[in-house]
Amino acid sequence: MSTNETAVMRAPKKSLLTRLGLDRFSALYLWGVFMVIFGIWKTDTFLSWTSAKLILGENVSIGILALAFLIPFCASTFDLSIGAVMSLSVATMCFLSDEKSRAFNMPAGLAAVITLLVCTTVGVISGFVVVKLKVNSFIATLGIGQVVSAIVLKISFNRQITDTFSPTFEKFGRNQYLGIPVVFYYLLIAGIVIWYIMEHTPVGRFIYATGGNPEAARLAGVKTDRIVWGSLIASSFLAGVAGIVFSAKVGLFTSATGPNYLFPAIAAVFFGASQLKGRPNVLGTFIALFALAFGIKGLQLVVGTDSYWVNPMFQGTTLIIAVALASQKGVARIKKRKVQTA
Amino acid sequence: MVFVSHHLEEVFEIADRVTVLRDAKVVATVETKELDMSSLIELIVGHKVTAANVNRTVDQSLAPRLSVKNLIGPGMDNVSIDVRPGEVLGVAGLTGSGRDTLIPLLSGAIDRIGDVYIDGAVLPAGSPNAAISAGLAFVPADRLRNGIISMMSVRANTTLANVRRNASGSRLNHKKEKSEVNDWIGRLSVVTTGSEAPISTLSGGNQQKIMMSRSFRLDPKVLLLDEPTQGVDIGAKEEIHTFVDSAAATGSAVVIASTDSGELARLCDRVIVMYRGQIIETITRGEGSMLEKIDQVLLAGSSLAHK
Repeated sequence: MSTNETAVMRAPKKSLLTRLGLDRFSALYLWGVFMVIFGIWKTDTFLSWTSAKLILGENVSIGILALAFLIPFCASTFDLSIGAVMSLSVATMCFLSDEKSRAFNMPAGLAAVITLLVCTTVGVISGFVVVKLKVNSFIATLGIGQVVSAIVLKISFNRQITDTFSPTFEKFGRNQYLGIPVVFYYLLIAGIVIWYIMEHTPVGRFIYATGGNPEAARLAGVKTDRIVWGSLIASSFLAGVAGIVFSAKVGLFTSATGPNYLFPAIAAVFFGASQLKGRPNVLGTFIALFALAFGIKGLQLVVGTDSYWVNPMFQGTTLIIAVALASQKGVARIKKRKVQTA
Repeated sequence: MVFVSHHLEEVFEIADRVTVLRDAKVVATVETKELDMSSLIELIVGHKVTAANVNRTVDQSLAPRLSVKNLIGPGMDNVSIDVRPGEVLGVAGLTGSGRDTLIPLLSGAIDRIGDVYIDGAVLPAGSPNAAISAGLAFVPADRLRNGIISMMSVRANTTLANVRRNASGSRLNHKKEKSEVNDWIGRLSVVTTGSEAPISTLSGGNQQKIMMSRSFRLDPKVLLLDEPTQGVDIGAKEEIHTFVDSAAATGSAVVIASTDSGELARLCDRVIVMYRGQIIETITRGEGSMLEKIDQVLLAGSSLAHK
């Protein structure tokens, strides 16, 4: 009997596409293609350690924001407020540290703690709206994001804020360690912590279960309301962290800071979800993030001075292509299941 | 016409010829009139299936494991039930009679009014999590909607109701979890490539076996099964039935709601038949053919409904 069973369950022949891993590793292949094309095209500028360091450093806040989006997304919950929360974080940091116009002049450490508290509160409120008021998370966080943007405009008077931070604080954002921008290590640490939680703790299992089938998860004893609420708190906390890292690195506030980072973060998570395991995951997100980042940088170098349109164009098209590829896989899976249950 | 089914009665009604497939191979093609039910089942399963005789005696002097007092909820009108350790109670009835809401009400899937006790301790209403902590395990009807998490592996689906068992502190011990799940795969002879296979690659019957192990591994005091063999092939069905017997043998109080009267007659010490939210008949094992009695009462109930 058992030999028969193994014969039945042997995996079907894989297509060339699957064997080369073009589906599960498409971002890595894409990354490779970018390196080759732009490496040949713009050898001295693109293939330099300086531009690599620039890319690593520039994408840290986006990466942390992507992690923020990832956690609720694994529980099938959208948090679209994270861009605004990041903006709130930068504005609050500037507001609390500013000695000239507002007389707070708080040390950066204390300002960071208060900023994180403020940002986390936004997540508590989002969680309440989603879990208790039962508003669809997409709508709820879109609305809360607008409200947060309004608060940011109010406290910043819609002006650019500069020169508020002490040189010590800015060291945390601008130094290098082992030749790599120090902020990149922050992203690495955040990524490892979240990877560990998602893959190696019961909580991670509960988050994925809630995302996979909320009612089945609830019936299996998962406290799905708590998971959704908690994931929204975690995402706004991380958006706060992204803002603090940005403050230390860039040192100035403009109202476009956070919202402009939302899209690339979401693109990395969606693209990353089609990678490796076929579900949203940390490593896939990072690979997607940097594949896109290197592609954008290459294109910017090629286009030259008028490259301001490159970012949105590139991110928009890759997001759609990535999700289209992933849903082809999803469609195939559903077709397969229908055959089995029939 | 080609008619594919595991409702064997329908096969006899409709088909002229039957082709039986097992393990992706054609086992036999036979004229229907040359077959009877037991020889067809033998072809499907691959060996003789003898209807197991349940030789259980329920100690009526024991205090009830599960005690339901004046249960009210959707489709449920003031119902009281006691189930003793080692007893298997069947619930029959048409859809809408209360048969289909009894287990969701007890498991906390939907909210209820009325007291439920497990070994004398109050079971909180409306929370599957609290019910599981209190020693209640349940397999919901509608496996695809309420049971499996199709994007997750066999392993994650098996252990979901108690993930922490294989964790030290907050760290999941993947090795320990894999070996536990592979154990269950062996015990219930689940056909799969292993604990890491996506559950969506399993057949309905094998998915249901995973749902069973999710509950059995909790060592429940009370085990509730809602349509446990719906959409399950005959071989897996018998294996699931054997497992229900063994759960009762360990002293669990078992409640099975089913539209399959044969299944209830096979498994239960006592069957209650529900109609419009109330128990209209209780049939106890040993009073003649249980199957006939259940069907008689169901028929009487449905004729009442058509009046």
